Amino acid sequence: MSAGQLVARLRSLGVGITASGERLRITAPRGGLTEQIKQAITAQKAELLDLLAEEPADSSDQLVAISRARPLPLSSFQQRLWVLHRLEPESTAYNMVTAWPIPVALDAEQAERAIRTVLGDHEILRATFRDDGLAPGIHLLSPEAVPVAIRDLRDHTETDQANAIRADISIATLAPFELAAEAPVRWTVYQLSPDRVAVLAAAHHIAMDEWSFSLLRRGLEAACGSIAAGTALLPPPALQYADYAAWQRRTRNDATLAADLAWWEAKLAGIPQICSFPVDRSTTESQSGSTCLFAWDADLVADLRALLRREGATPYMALIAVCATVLRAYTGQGDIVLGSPMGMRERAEFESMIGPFVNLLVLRLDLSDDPTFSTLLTRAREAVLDAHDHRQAPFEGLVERLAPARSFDRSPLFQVAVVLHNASEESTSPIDSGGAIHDLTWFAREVDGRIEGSLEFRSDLFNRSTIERITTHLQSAVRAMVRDPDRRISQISLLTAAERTRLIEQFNATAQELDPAPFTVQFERQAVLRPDSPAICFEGQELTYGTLNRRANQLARYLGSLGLGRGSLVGVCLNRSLTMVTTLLAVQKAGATYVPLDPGFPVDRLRFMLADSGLAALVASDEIAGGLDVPARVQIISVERDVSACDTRDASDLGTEIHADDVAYVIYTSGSTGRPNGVAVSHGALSNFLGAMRCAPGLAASDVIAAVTTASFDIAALELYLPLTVGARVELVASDVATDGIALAQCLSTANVTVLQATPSTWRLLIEAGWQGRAGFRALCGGETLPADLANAILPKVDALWNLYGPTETTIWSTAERVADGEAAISIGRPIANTAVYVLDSEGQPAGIGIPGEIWIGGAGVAAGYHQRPELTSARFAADPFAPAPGARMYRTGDLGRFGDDGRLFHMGRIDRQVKLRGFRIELGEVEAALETHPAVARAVAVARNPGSDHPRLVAYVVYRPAESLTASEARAHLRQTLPEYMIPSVFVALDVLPMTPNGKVDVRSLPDPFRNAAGLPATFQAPAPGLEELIAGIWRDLLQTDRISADDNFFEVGGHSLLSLRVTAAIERQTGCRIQPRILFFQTLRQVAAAVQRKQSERITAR
Amino acid sequence: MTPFFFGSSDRQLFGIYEAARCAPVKGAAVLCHPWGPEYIHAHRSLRQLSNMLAAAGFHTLRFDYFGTGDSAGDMTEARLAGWEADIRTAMSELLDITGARQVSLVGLRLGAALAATIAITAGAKVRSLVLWDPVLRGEEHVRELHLESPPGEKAIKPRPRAPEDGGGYDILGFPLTDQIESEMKALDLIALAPALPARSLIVASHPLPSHDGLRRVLDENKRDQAIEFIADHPPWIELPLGHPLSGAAPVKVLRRIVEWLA
Repeated sequence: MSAGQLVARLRSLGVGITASGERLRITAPRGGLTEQIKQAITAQKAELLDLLAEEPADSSDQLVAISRARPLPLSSFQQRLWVLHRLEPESTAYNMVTAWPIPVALDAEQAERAIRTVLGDHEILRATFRDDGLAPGIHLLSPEAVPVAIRDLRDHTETDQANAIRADISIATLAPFELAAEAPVRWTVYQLSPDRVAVLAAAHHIAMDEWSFSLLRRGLEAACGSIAAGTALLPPPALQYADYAAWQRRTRNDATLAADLAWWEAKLAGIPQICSFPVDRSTTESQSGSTCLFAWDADLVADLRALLRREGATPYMALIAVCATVLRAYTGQGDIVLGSPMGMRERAEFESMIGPFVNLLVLRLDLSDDPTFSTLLTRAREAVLDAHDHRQAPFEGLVERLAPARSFDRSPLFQVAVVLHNASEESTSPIDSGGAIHDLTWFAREVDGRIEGSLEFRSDLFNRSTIERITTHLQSAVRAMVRDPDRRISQISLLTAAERTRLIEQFNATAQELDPAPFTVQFERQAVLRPDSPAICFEGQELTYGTLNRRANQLARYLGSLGLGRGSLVGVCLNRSLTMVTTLLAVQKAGATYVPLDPGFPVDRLRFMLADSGLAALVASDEIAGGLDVPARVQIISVERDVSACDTRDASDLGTEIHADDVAYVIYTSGSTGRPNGVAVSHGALSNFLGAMRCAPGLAASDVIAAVTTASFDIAALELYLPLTVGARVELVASDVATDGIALAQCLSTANVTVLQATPSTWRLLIEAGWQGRAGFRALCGGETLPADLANAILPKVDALWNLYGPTETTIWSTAERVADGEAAISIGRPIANTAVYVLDSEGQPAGIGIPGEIWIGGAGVAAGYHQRPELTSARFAADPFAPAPGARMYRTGDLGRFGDDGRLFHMGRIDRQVKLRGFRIELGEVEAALETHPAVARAVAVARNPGSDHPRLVAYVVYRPAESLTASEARAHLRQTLPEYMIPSVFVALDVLPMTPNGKVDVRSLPDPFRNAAGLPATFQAPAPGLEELIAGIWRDLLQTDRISADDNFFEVGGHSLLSLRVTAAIERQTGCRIQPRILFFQTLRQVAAAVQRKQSERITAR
Repeated sequence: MTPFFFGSSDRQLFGIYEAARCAPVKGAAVLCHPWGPEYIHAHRSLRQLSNMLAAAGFHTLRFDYFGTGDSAGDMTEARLAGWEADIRTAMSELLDITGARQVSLVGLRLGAALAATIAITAGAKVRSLVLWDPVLRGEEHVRELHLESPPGEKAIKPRPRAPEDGGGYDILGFPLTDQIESEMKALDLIALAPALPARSLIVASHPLPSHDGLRRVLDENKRDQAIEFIADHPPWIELPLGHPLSGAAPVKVLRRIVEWLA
């Protein structure tokens, strides 16, 4: 290859190459120089020099010293840090502290003089950053004005000296800077012996970067040397950082800048709001940082290097690929965004300047198509090279364009950064920082054939154990990459063998011997033990254990006489009453299966369930039975006639043989194709559940439990049956009381209730009604996510709060957690007795701790299956490959979850289109199917939306047939014919056409959210930014006599009128020299007005 | 903000629903508009009220009566009794959308008079009532409508309308039919005042002669509701562009209403 071709090739790779005298100047993106390239350049050095010497020199961008008469300008990096500092003056995340021993013999006073020399030489070390009204400006302190502390440690031992300095470093990292008033570097000189000193420099990143510390150290040592030897000091440098800042502005060719920004804007359009590891806590206090070390051994690195040689990639690109892989595993996101801090000392002059020469580049990688490592490496390469090409665009400019709504508790655009230090960069003393700037920064360096370094992380967001796990996962990922680069990234397991054992065995060590007797037998035992104790109360009436048992036995005998027994399905369609409970018991005692049907359901739905379930008999009131069109083969058992006629029968226990496999009940749940499905649960599963609940949360004979849940939901079994197995009392609550907070609170106190199981919505009703709880009360909560604020509201009122989770298909509840005070994220706990919980990835393998996957549940609670739906059953129930027992099965919940370090499970949402609204399980497909049965409807999509303030609501998007439409009221009326009330959408949005994704699915994300402010009116207070916005806000506050003006306020909407608007524009003109039209105040917000003034100002400046 | 049609197909009503934007949710409110040019001038203020209520934790629904705005129908088919029924329909709709049990009614000018009538008969469904500068005597209101003029210009005599179009007068482009005019004239909120629900707020920014009458009746019947006078810009009257106070919204009244409901 000729020199010319080499240059062209280099430039196409983003490597800059120019000649500078006899030296070649090479600028390459971080890690952009592969071995091959370096060798090629060395081999052809002479030819390259000749070739490049002929290129015309670029003279327009000379770096010159600017006038010192006016306040000095800031670079864009400094501007950004200044704004951040103004908004969070207490932050220490940008502190950089280090200490060096000085290798020259001198005393503290001489060292101080050396420091002042260095201060004189470098303006930036004594720069203060003040707000000059419209923009910040630099005002310099004199070298004498900068304080230098001196500490005499001569009487300390060496160890104590080291400890003292260490301690000072720690203190310095946490001391905020007052950039407007003090120098950005603080100094301490330690006298260690009569002629040995050490120096501590604590700096703010607004004045220094890592390279600067090396320069500073060299400069300081040189000055010390001169002073100690009495020789002349080196002349001060000709150019300062401020000259660079001015140069940056001058040469920032607006056209290329605009082009670069436009490129970035296009590249980063639509990036996810957050791309980071799931946090352990959400932060409410100030940010803090910590570090975790890591090292990859030489063998691994050697293998990696071999791979990189083959693939033509650099170590940095490998780090990016590995980090992206692990991030994807943790977040499930395919769109990955990482940060790449880049040194910008690209001209010879910059190499000797102290000051921050850093820009942050953003790397975006697409992992959504599950690429191989090899492909991912290529993508990493492209991202790195492309970013390098556009590295001149200041990060601050990107942030303004792409993320104007700043949230200051996470870093903008990216939250995870990767830094690879070249082995050649000196950095022999570590630099401590006062915090973590990003969620996670991965610092790596190559040392002696190893790759090692640290992960700096926000310790207010992450536990150290989480970061340590991420570190092992990074290593697992790179091992996998090296072993098989053609493997798809979803197929690699990040787990170690130890982790796997922990997940499968230790977390599921729930084996326990429980009473295997069927529920009816357990109840009968209690009836013998305490026949006169109250069993159930309802609206003042009471049944004792003895009476209840006798009545149930009598009814059971009647059912038996009708030929009903094992294998028969008996529908129970009764209003809440003592009779209802008696009937449920009776059906089980007869050995039959009960199917609860809610009388409040629409007739059509009941008819379907009747037909679908293949009932042999139906117990109902005459009125209900009459309205139902019951098929002839179904025997109707009338409450009014038949049930009461039983009291002449034999009332003793039947002793029916009930096997563990016999089905206790079939309960219908919402089905995604439009029809509900019946889940068949066995007696064995039910008994296991009741036994587990007796252990935790536990129930005693002295307890009173309020039963508020309708019998057609399986969780009612906890309320009705659990107490009957321990001799406790059931207070059966009518449904209108259960939905009225005040009435329910009243009932709880009148009936001396000690335990209540309810959904979060019901708990909220109670709390809002002012329920005070009582000593000894146990609260059970389940059915949907328990928010932390609700938990904190309940906890002080009760002895214990339990959070329960589990689908109907695994028998009522499968995991439980006793909620502790003050937790930010509420866990759904650990599996109950004889139950296993797995979090599996898309390959069916356990996902690592902290990594999300689908929740599968195995163990004794797994249901028999869906009644008469063999295909659906085989789709959702599978063999459990992890359980030791043969024939074990597990159920696929469709819930996303992840394990915490201690084996507690966290729920993370749904995989499919099932939602929970106020505890009710709803398949969105069922709502859509019901809507589409209306002749005016062409297509319908249902979505659960969160208004933010209230419980989630169903929104239906409807495309009507041409020339047809329905009002919301009419649509609801149609749905009420077949759907229960809780499945009726709140809001109906008519669309002309449904938005579709490229692969033909409905693009749910594009559906308009009726609860999002369409008019763009603000929901929260936005503080005006320092500078122009604050200036104008102050004018408004004065004129409107009000304290708070939000950046999104409109002048007239907060009380202004035309006359005042004139005074506003006059004041703006006085203070900024810009005249704007008063009429813009009519329709624009403060922010927009400030932007308009800004534009006017720039016009004036360029016009000069 | 969700614009949509509710009610039955043959009486489609156009409404705009705004969900509460902060927790805890405090309630739900139906906003009842004034009529004609007053509706146009007050539109911005009502939109702002809706926004402020949503920010304070209320779900709101504002809508056009049958025959007005974007709702179906013609003014010639409109009746006050029909408009009262429309308010009831709006209340049901809001209850359906939000799952709430009660709503508050906020009416401005004619809307206040209609809302008051509903509140008196609707019983438990109405939690509270806000009468903002209510039309107290229909006669007075009709007189004011006849005197409407384009902002800043002299009053022009309203043009009479053809009898086959329902007769009456054209008020700045709004058809005030004979039927509606006579029904409006029959309005007498002062007579209804003793029956106003306990939780009612009457707020007035623009003094009217009939306010004395109202005060007297409330005193005589020992009702607690006082009339609050808050000097502020009457939103249904538009000031011309050059006027120093033009463009202003009655922020004080709006804040008072939100504060009282919450």
